[in-house]
Amino acid sequence: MVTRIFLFLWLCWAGGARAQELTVTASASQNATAGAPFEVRFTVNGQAERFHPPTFGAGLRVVSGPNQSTSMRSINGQTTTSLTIGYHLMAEKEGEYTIPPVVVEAKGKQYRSEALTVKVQQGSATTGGTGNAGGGRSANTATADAGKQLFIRAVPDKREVYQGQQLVVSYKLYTNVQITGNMPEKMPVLNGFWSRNVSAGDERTVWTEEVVDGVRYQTTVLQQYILFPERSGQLHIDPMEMTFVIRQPVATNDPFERFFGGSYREVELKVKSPQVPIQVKPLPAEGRPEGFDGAVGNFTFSTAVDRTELKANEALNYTLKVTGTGNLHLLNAPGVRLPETIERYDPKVNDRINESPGGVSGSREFSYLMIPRHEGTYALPPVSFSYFDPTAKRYVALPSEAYTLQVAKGDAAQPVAAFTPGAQQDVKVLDRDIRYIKTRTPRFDTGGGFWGSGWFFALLLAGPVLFGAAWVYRDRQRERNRDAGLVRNRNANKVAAKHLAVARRQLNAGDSKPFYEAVYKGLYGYVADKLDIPVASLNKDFIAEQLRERRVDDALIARMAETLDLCEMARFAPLSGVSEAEVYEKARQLINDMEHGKI
Amino acid sequence: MTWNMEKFSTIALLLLLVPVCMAAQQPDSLFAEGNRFYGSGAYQDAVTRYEALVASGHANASVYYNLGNAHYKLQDLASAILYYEKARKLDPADPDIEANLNFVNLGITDRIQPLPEFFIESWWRGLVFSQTLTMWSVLAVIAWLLAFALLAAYLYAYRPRLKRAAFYGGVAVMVVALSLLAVAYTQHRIQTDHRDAVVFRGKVPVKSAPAEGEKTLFVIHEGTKVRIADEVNDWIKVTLPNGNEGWIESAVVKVI
Repeated sequence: MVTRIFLFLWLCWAGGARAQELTVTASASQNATAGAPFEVRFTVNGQAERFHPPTFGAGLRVVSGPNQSTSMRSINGQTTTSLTIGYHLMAEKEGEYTIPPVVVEAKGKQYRSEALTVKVQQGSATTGGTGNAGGGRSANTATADAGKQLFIRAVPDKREVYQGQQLVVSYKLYTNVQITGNMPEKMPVLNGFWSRNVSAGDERTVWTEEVVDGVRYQTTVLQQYILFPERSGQLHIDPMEMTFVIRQPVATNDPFERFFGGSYREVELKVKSPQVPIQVKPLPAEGRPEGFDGAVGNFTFSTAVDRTELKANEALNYTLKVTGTGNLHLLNAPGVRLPETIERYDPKVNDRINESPGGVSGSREFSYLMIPRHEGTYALPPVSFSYFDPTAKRYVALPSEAYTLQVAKGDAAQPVAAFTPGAQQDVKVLDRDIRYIKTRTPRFDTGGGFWGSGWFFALLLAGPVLFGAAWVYRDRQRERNRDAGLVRNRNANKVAAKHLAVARRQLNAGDSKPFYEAVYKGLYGYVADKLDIPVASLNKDFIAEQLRERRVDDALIARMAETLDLCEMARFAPLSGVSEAEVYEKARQLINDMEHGKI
Repeated sequence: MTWNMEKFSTIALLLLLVPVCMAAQQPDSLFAEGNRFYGSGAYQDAVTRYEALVASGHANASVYYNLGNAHYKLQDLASAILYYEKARKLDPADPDIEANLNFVNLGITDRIQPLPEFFIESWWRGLVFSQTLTMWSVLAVIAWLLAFALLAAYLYAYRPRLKRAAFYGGVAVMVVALSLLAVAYTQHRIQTDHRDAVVFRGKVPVKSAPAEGEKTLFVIHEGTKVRIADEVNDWIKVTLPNGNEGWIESAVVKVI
């Protein structure tokens, strides 16, 4: 501001000598750097009527402007007017840029400025302001030596840690200039770390003195994090970026100004802390206890049960407490194995964790609410908590106490939970696995399967072959039987005649019993031979049936039955009303009829 | 007549029993030893015992199944699948083999959706593979012999009613026997015609033709079961249950 007015005044004075003639001059600020705004000014001495703004070439960006200011002065009654039009431009790359001339119209005449060449140097990352978009106040770009007067450093308390081991990193501000304002630009992301921000107890900034490289600085802690590396390898602590507004004294020869404390200017300064590498070592695989869950630090472990004797369906608390320093936030509940009949709820986590610049310390408590549903004696097996001690570089396993619960029968007033409706649960499938091997020794037959084997085909063939054999055998037997039947049939008459001849002899001799027997035998034998039935299986009914089947005349069958009846009766008791000669005649007649009856 | 029938069935029974009685003593102890090792967690030792059994020709559904289990425990999924598939081929009706095969198949990379098939087809295959081939052929032979026995009884039956019953019974049992033979034959054909294999390399590009430079159609992974459809030199044409097909090198698979 001060310099600008100064420059302006000087320009006005220079132009004032030839006040009548209108002049247009272009000027640019020195030390233009890429990425930082610089100023280009067009000064018109005289009464300008119209100003044609310039078009800036590619690579130049207008940050602000046109900013216009006019001044008027009168010397010896002669008034001169000057108009200054300023632009803040920014070049993206270094190089030479040409500012084209501007055209000013006055009294119908055109005046143009000279073309201006601006040399833009390579910008540095640490210095440079974002320009004063507000336009009210002009902040100059910082000079290079400001970087030595003000800087931020990330200071870790350890450079080499184990995975999960906590480290504290402090972003510290070092300054020996006066700071009038600050604005955070970019807070660190801290990838690869699980981080906790340590909040300062009081809001006031505490300044301390520190000497770095022989220079005395005022330092303060801007931000403090407790970090837990989440993976091993080379990790980086991200830079923190802030913009400060500092006051820089300006050298002046003016004794008045010096008297009033000298002039100074306000400079915006962008500050970035350097990246800090952190070497993270993996936790050793050797000696890792069963159930190790990533706890790193220094801990103690205690367990407690609020009661060991209770009734069924009453609740008890089982508390596991981890106390110490380390990654307490990341601790999971140690694996608790309970008998299946004890109902267990998810643990309640109760933290008393203190985050201080010294690190994370405190305790984490896991509280299980458990309800035994049935009476009995239950053992709570000991729980083991293990952690890695980074200072001793070894794993530590802390076993807990084992407890025995005595559960008495529940109150009668309280119905057993198993009988309340809806208390039944589905059997939960916890996990799946393959089925177990076959333990029964199988039959080891070296040959192939039955299918296609010799036996298979032999048996298949055996069916039809045996059937054929049976067929042939039956046919042959039937043939033979038929022959025998024919012979019997043919001889039936003869045999019967023989029997009748015997009967005749008995009749003549007067022996009635042998007579009837002979007649009976003759008749039966005849029928049996005729029908080809064994004599043993003969009886009257069967004979009648067989005769009927062979379509013998019913009258004949009736006579046969009658005659056989007569003979049968006469064998056991003397007959009356029928003479033996008549019976004989009947039998003879019967055989004769049947012989001609074609049976 | 009755004597004839009795003799007939006695012979048939004797003939059936003969192959059943042939069994060896030595493999029993190997099997038991393998099981003991498996039980104590020495899966590698169990594998060598079971493999000795297979090498000596005592391959068996149970041996293959146990081998599959041991390989699963050794975290060799491809081998586990190979042996389970072999076991299933010998005993398609065993529920344990089916369960473990399904379970282990969840662990491999490729999930292949089989093409939908007509329900009669799946029903028929279900029937055909519901029993072992030996079981089907034994049943078929028994039915076959029974049918002829009934027909022979028809020849000798004296009473007309008995005769009729024997005849119709014989014809019916004959139909049953022929169906059983058809089922057994179908299973036999499916098992001999279909050659399946299991992929044994982590990642196998399936080519459009049997040459290295051809286009890669898709990629299959270790443990996937493929059907061998054709063979050219060192290359085999494989088909997947979802209908995709292509050529892979024969060295990357093991035939079930």
